[in-house]
Amino acid sequence: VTTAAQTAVPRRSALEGVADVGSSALTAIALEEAGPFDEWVIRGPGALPLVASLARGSLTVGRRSTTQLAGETLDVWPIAEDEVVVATAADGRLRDRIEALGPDDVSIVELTGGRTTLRLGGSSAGELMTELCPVDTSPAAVADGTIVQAPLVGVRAQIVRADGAYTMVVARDVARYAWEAIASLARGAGS
Amino acid sequence: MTDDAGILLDDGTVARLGDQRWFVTTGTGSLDAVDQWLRWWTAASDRRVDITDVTSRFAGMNLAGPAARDVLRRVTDLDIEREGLRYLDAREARVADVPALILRIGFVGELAYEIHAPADRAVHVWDALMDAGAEFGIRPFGVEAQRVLRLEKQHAIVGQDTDALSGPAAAGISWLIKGDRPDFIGRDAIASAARHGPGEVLAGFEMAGTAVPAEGAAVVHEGRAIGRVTSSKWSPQLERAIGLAWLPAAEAVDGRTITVRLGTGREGSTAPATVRTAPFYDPAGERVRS
Repeated sequence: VTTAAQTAVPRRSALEGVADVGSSALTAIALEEAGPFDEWVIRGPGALPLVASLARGSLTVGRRSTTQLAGETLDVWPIAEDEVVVATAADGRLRDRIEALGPDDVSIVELTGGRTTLRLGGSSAGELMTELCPVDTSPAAVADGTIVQAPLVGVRAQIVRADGAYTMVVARDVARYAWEAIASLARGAGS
Repeated sequence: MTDDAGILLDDGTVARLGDQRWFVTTGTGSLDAVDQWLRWWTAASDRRVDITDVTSRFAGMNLAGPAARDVLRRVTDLDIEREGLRYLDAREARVADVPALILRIGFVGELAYEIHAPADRAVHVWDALMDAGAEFGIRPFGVEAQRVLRLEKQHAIVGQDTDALSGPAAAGISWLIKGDRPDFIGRDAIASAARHGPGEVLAGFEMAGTAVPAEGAAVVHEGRAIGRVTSSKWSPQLERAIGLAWLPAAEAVDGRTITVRLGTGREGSTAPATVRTAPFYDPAGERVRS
C-alpha cells in the first residue's frame, strides 16, 4: 500500500502514555524511543547493489551503516543480500526518491509506522541486555554495528550495539509490551 | 485459501492494488501459518514473489451499517457511491487526510467498508469517523457483537466452525471457489469432493426455545451423536438462539427438526432446533451490496 502522498496529520507513538523507566537513581540505564522514522524494506536480487549505489560505497550484509541521500541521513540495515531496510528521520522528504528507486528486480514496501525503535544506554546497559536477550550481544561476541536478529523480552527484534548503547527495533504492536518489560527489568537492575 | 487436499486453511481477503501488488489479510490467529504457507510455495518455485508482513504497519477499522456510506463520504474525496466503489472493490484513498486502503467488504452483513490506515495515524482516522458518524448515532462495536452479527449471516469462521478435514463445499462456501481457473492449490481435490458430495455439511439452526446450546455440544439422534455445534449465540435482532452445526448431509435440509444437547459431552438436557440453510439475516445479501 503506497502512502506516497504527504499528510499534515501528526504521528502518534506506540509508546504514548507509557510510564518512564523510573527514578533518576537509574542513571546507569537509559531507555528512550528513537524516531519516528520513515522506513522501507527493499527486497530482491538487486536490493543490496541498489542501496550500495545510493550509499556511494560498499555495504556489508549484517552491518548497519548510514549514508546521505538528498541531504538527509539514511540509516541502512542490510539484513541479507536481497533484503535491505532503510530508515530516515526525514519525515516524508525522501519518500518519492525511495519509492522511485525500484527497478524490476526489487520490490519496495513502506514500513513507516509499523516499527518502533528503542535505544538502551548507560553504564549498565550491557549487563541488562544479558537479561533481555538470550543471544550474546556483548563486544566479545559481536562487533559494533553488527545486526543481531534475536528475541528481545520474548519478541522478535533487530538489535545493533554501538559505543555501548543498543538500538532495538520491534514491531509497533508489541512495542508497548517491550518497553514495559525492559523498564521493569531496568528498575530491578537499578534497585 | 485451501491446501493440496482442498482443506480450508484460512478465510482472508485479497486485494489487487496494481499489476504486481496484492494486499492480503488473514484471520486473526492465522497470520503465521498463512505467512509460512505463502513463503513455502514461493520458495519451491522460480517465481519472483516478495512477501512483507505489514500487520503492525496498519490499523484496520470496519465501518458498517446502513449509514456507513454517509459517514465515509464526509471524510474522503473518493467516489464511494454504489457504482463508484462496488462490493468487493478496493481503492487507495485519503480518509481524514490520511492515505489509507479502503476495501468494500465486511463480515457483519451490512453495507461496510474496511479501512486500513497507517497505525501511527489511525487514532486520527478513528476520531474523524466517530465525529462524522455522530449525527447518525455511530457506536464502536467489538468482537462479541461481530460474532453475533456474522452468525446471523451464517458466515463460518475457519478454525472455529471448520476443522482439519473441512473443505469449502462442506462448509457451504463453494460459491467462493473459482472452479474455472486453470489451477490453484487444492483445485483437483475440491473438484473431486464436489463430484462425490460431502458426507457432512455445516448448516445453520435456530432453537425452538430460548436456551443457547454450548459451542461444542452434540447434535443427537436417538441418543447417539450425529453432529456438533460449532457456534451458538443469542441473537437480539432475531430474538432467538441461533448457531452453526456440522450435520450429516441428509439432515442438513431446510426446515428439518434436529435435537441439540444443551451441554457438552454427555451432560445436559436436549432441545429441538430447526435447520436453516440460508442466512437468518438479509438472506439475499441485499444490504451488503446496497
